Order: sequence, then C-alpha cells, then structure tokens
Amino acid sequence: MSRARLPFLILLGLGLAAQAPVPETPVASPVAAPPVAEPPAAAPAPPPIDAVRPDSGTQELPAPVPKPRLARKKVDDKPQILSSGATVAEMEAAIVRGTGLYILLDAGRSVLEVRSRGIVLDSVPLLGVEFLNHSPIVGGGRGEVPALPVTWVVRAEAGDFEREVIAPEALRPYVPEDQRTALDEARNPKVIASHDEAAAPPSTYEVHLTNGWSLEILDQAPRTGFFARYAAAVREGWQRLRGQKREHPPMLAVAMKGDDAQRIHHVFRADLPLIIAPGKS
Amino acid sequence: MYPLPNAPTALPASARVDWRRRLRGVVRALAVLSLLALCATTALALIGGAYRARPLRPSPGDSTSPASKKATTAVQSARPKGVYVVIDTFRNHLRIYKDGELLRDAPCSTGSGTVLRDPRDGRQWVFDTPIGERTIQRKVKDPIWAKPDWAFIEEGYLPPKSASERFDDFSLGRFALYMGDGYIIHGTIFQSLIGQRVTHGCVRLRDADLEWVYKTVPAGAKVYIY
Repeated sequence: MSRARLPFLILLGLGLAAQAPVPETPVASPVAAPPVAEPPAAAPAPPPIDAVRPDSGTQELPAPVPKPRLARKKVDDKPQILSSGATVAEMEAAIVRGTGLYILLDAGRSVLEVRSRGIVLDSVPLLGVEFLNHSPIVGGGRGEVPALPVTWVVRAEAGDFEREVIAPEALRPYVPEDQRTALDEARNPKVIASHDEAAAPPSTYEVHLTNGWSLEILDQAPRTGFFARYAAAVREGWQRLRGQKREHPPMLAVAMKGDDAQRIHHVFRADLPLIIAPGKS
Repeated sequence: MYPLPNAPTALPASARVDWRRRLRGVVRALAVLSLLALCATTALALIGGAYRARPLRPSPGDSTSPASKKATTAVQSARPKGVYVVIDTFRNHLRIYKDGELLRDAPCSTGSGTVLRDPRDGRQWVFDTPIGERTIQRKVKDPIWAKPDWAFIEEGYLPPKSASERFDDFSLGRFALYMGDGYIIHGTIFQSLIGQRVTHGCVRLRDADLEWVYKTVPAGAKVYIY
C-alpha cells in the first residue's frame, strides 16, 4: 500500500468515529425539587368584605407567576415485589393485589403494557430494548445483567412539566353570575392568567429505579456500535479531563415512538412496579 | 502575450519534480497530524467510557410448576368482572368494557393540570385527574353541584358565606357518577371542549355518551385511570 494513501485512510477512520453518539444520561432535564408548600404562618387578616380593587382605568396585567414543578402523588398500596427467580405470572400475581398501576415490559414481544389488576389498559410497541452498562472502551468486562424476569420499582418520576398557574392577587366579594358586569368578567383571574400553552411531555427521558438502575426512554434505538462508543468515550474522556465526571448507572434503554413516550410519561411515578419479561408472558 | 501556436505546453522536468516533492511534504504533514489526532482521541477514549449493550439473560422459570399455575389463576381472578371503565387522561378517551370486551369508546375531558393559589393563605389546588383504580360509589340523575371554595377563588371571588349561593344545578349536566374524593364523571355545558384537558380533575362526557354510561355502568364498577 502506498504511503500516500495512509493519511487518507486515517482521516476516513476519524470521520467515521465522529458519528452521532450513544445517547448519554441524563437525557431529560433533571427532576427539580418540588416547591415546598408554604405554611400559612401568621396569616394576614382577611380584607374587609367590601374591599374592592381600585379601578385605575387601565387594566394592567399582573407580573407572570413562576410556573411550578410539582411532585406527583405516589402510587397507592405498595405491592409485594418478588425477587427474581419467579415466573412472570408469579410476579404479576404479587402485584395485582394492589390497586395501583404497574408496567409489564415484554422484551420478547417488544411491547410495554400499562396494567392494573391483570388487565391491559394501554399497549405501546417498542422499537428496541437493551441493557446497557457503562464501561471503558477497552477491557470493560461483562457488566451486570439481571436474570429475567425481574421486578423493579420506580424511585422517582420522570419529571413534571410546566403547569399553568392561576394566582389572583386579591379576592373580591362574590357576585352571582346573572348580576355580573363586563368589568367583573374582565377581572376574572382565569382570563388574566398566563396563556402560554403547557409544555408537552418530553419524548426522551430518564426514570430512576430503586435498585440504582435507570430506565431510559428513547425515541430511537441506542447506537452501540464501535465507532459510536468510541466517539462517546472520547467525549467523556474530555469531560473528565475538565473535571466534569458524571455518574453512569447501568440502564435499561427502551426505544419507542416519540408520541408513545409522551403518552406514558405521566404514568411513571414513585413506587410504580415494573416487570421486565424476557419473552412471551 | 499569447503562446505561439506550436509552442510547447508541458512543464519543464525541474518544475514537475518540485511539485511532487511539495505534495509529498504536505501528505507527510497531514499524516503526522492525523496520527497525533488519533493518539489524542484514543487517549481520551481510554480515560472515558461508553455504554455497551449486553444480551438479555432469560431465566423464565418453570411456568408449569404448581406455584406458577396458582399465580396465573390469581391474576385472572383479580381481573374485574362485568362492566368496568378505563380512562386515558393523555388522549382523553373513556372506554367501557364488559368482561374484557370493548363496549364503547367515547371522547372525554380530563384534568387540566392547572395550579390555583389562594392569595389569602397560599392554599393550593392542582387540577389533575388522579391515576389508579377507583370505584363508582353512586350515580345521580340531575345532580346538583355544591361548588367548593376553588370554584370561586378561580374567578377572583371570595367564597360566599351563604350555602345557597354554592349550589349549581346545571354545570354537571343530566347525570353524574361519583368516584369519591370529589371526582365525578359528569356532563358539561362546554360540549365543544370535550377531548381537551380542561377540567378541574373530573371527567366530562358529551350528553349522549354520558347517558349511555349512566345506564350501563353500575354502582360498584371499577374505574381505571392512567
């Protein structure tokens, strides 16, 4: 091979190595700490019954209220979780005693089902399911892979998205609807409140599990070929050199269509059981 | 000056040799740079790491064992018998099943997710339709709604002292199915908003669907909301 061709081959190799990377965690924005409900300490005296906001003539809109991110209510009735070694039916039998939802992820049939009491409420087709372990590019070892089927529990939800807030500055005496004037309607806080459309749920997000693993919901199958891993390793090596070391828990990557991922985003809440089945259940 | 018609066009030998030498120099420089880049990226890759896919490790257990058969029976017996309701709060659809067979699929409206704050004491309401299992506790025809405090605060009014000013006999429509904790399947005067997430947590149906649900779903039926 002529020496003139060698650099071109090297450049070609580098170009292939600069492919789109394996999605890294976290993908979705992290769960913000829910705002603590402010206790009504030293509640101010309510305004007199005939107090009315002075009409300044021009209706000024109040300042925008910051949109909260709230922690959702946990799943009720903690079910009994069986350790691995049982069949899917036994794991499900232990869970159906509760009144909450649970998820059955069947890797063999490539489907994720939202269930309750043994019935399928919704079914989401999957594009792929893979266990991923973070390891060095060379000599990384096999990593931990659980024996299937297994039941895991969600530790924290996938994160809330922005909500519209109605926060009247003051309350005025009640006026029955048939006696209201146009001015009363103009003062309606529902009209004054922010009209921004609530943000749609994300189509890729991360769900933390109680066993330290994470469930990664993606809108495409993760790229785990050599060049994609090489590029990801280079990026992480650069971040480590800059002192930005990140945790990389083992993960279960589940790829599905973006619409489906948005559809089930709100289902992932704390204490939600998740059964991972290897094949037909 | 234009070249003469029969003038020679080829470069002299000395110029050709010089051009090749320069090209070789450039190629060598590129090769060295490439090699350095490769070494640098490889060093970074060795410091870092990446996710690697692992094959599944199925260990399905014995599905024919007595314990597994007993579990299968337990799951089947846990399923609701007769009529039950499934509500999809994302796509805003209410489905009625009987013994697993779909009877009706109707568009509905579910909780908007809006947050309301009381300016007096900071009390807060979140208008979500709760997910999980519920039960139809009772059914009422021509229901009267006792408006809670939030219904007034939302419009900027103080809750009235007189209880009679809280009663509303038209907002819930002709039928109501109560699921407990203040959550109701009911009608609405805003028929055009069916299919959107606009309620305060209740589930709204169109008149025709509501009447059918009222007549078909008995008290005690399960409602699964997700």
